[in-house]
Amino acid sequence: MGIDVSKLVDNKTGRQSRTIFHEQDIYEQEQERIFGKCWLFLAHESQIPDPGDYFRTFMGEDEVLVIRQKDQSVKAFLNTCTHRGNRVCKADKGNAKQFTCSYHGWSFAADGALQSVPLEEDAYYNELDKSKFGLHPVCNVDSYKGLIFGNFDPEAPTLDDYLGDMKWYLDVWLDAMPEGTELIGTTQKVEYPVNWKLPVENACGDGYHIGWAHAGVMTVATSMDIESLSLGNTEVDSSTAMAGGGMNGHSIISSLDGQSGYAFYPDPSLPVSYLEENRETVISRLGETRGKQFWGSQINMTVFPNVQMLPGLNWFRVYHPKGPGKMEMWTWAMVDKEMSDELKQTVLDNVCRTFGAAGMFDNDDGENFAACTSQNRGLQTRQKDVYTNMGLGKEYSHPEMPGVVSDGLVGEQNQRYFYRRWQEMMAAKDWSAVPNYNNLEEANATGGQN
Amino acid sequence: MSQSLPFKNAVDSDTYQTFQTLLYKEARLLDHEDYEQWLAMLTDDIHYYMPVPARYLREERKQAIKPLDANIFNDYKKQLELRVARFATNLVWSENPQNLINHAVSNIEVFPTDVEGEWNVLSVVTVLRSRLDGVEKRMVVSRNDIWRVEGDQLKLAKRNMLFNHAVVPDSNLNFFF
Repeated sequence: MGIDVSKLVDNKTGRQSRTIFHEQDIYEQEQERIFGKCWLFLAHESQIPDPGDYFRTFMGEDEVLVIRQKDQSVKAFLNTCTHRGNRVCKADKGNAKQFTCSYHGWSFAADGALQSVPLEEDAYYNELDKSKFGLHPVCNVDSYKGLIFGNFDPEAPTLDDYLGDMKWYLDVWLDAMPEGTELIGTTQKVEYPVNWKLPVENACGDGYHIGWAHAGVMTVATSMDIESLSLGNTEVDSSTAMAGGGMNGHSIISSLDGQSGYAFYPDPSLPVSYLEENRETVISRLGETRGKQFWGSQINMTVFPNVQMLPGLNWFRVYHPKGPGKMEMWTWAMVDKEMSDELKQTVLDNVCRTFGAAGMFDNDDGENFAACTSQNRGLQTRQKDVYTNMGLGKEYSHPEMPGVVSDGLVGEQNQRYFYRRWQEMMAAKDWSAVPNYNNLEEANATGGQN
Repeated sequence: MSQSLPFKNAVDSDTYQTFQTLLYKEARLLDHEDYEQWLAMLTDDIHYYMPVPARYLREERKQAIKPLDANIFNDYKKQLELRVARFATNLVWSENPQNLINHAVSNIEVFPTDVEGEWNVLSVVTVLRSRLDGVEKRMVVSRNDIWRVEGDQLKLAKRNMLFNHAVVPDSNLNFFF
């Protein structure tokens, strides 16, 4: 049956019970019904280009090994020996012909097959059926325009259906340029005493906190005057911005000026000239709205449950849960392959300086998320609720932009739809019970079905 | 009775002690958040660099280090000044109340370089940081410095750091190593 989550989230009022940030049994149900059922980001194609390349990561709390195969396909396996359960790979990434367990020396091929077992003849009397002891595969692995995802649930919708309407927005980054994107740099890992949902909901739609939580860095670091910069993209209205949510939990917030994504660069001239040199190409690939208004804008995109992409600031991030009160945040820079090495380095440095481990923006957020988590340890405290009720009822449907749309970067619509999806997934025993909002034109402008 | 040792110091004791004192002074300035004075200890072309660590198999370690690697710090004077300016706004809420910090400097080695007036100084800094409600954070960083004589001062011209933690153990690094 599972825990009844019907009272824990209310999309109509924007209310959440604080228990969802604290209770161990709710967390365990998230592992089963969210991380066990949703498509989860594994790696970018560019991180494992050659056969034998591997990347060690997590799907929920399950540790997985993502491996490029001889035929260029990608497989993923639980990183655990089928004999006694030890890890078979301890490196973060690399290239290997086989993965040999350090306990008894069982050795697995890149396709997961058990290749060799020490003392197979002398101790197992050649009676071990090695074909039954390959690494446990992640049953579904698929990729969308460079991003490789895995799914533990054989009944899950295809990745294409799962991403659904969100693809229209994702393509603003993933398919803007002909060569696509790549992730660069070592994985930046930071441990936070934070429930995984809090940083996700923040980047889903919280433009509200930027002026206050980041007041220090905003005072000293924003040197780009968007209004007065002549970027060759001036016909667009730089005062407008949008939030798009309700797309099966995925969401976007975006300014619509096509240039503000680089506002946090001390010197934006290099990325801005790249934008204008390539804008016609992007318009020809994605059309006027996405090419002119979205491409180059400050954008936050979320793929439910735990992936976030901020083109402009150019970071790509995954949040790995480590218990109800702990998570690990993994950050990379994502760039267009066409960018020059100089521009890639500029982008990477800016990602690290703004949202890396010592990032001047990121270093404002952790303490807030940590206390939003830890305060709920108090029995009295966690019987109270918290709210994302800004702009309730202001949602509408847009003729061109998918999802439930509202105006501006400051709002809480997307956070509400994130928690609605959380509730839907948590309530569903299997995918047949999960609602699908793809191509739903009106998508409940009043705030969903609750 | 004097006995000679089968080991020759790379620099004389005066030079060694000068750098030891300098690193202790720097640590004190960082402990006390005297950032303007700290900035004055840096050359204008300072490069302050700390790459992001990763765990590779030993045999793959060398080839794994590539350009376009991520960093925790890849700062020049301008960026360091920006960080200091951010602290000075008093709008960095996570630093109020102050997170008390100690920089314990050890393993100091001093070597002459091929460049006149420049020394290569190695050290290890252990940072102890008291966070809210008794939470303690400890971070250990190896530093490989170039210090240069400028006028009547020794200034830090280069600091390459190794951060010995695969996962950064604190939610912010609102300080310097």
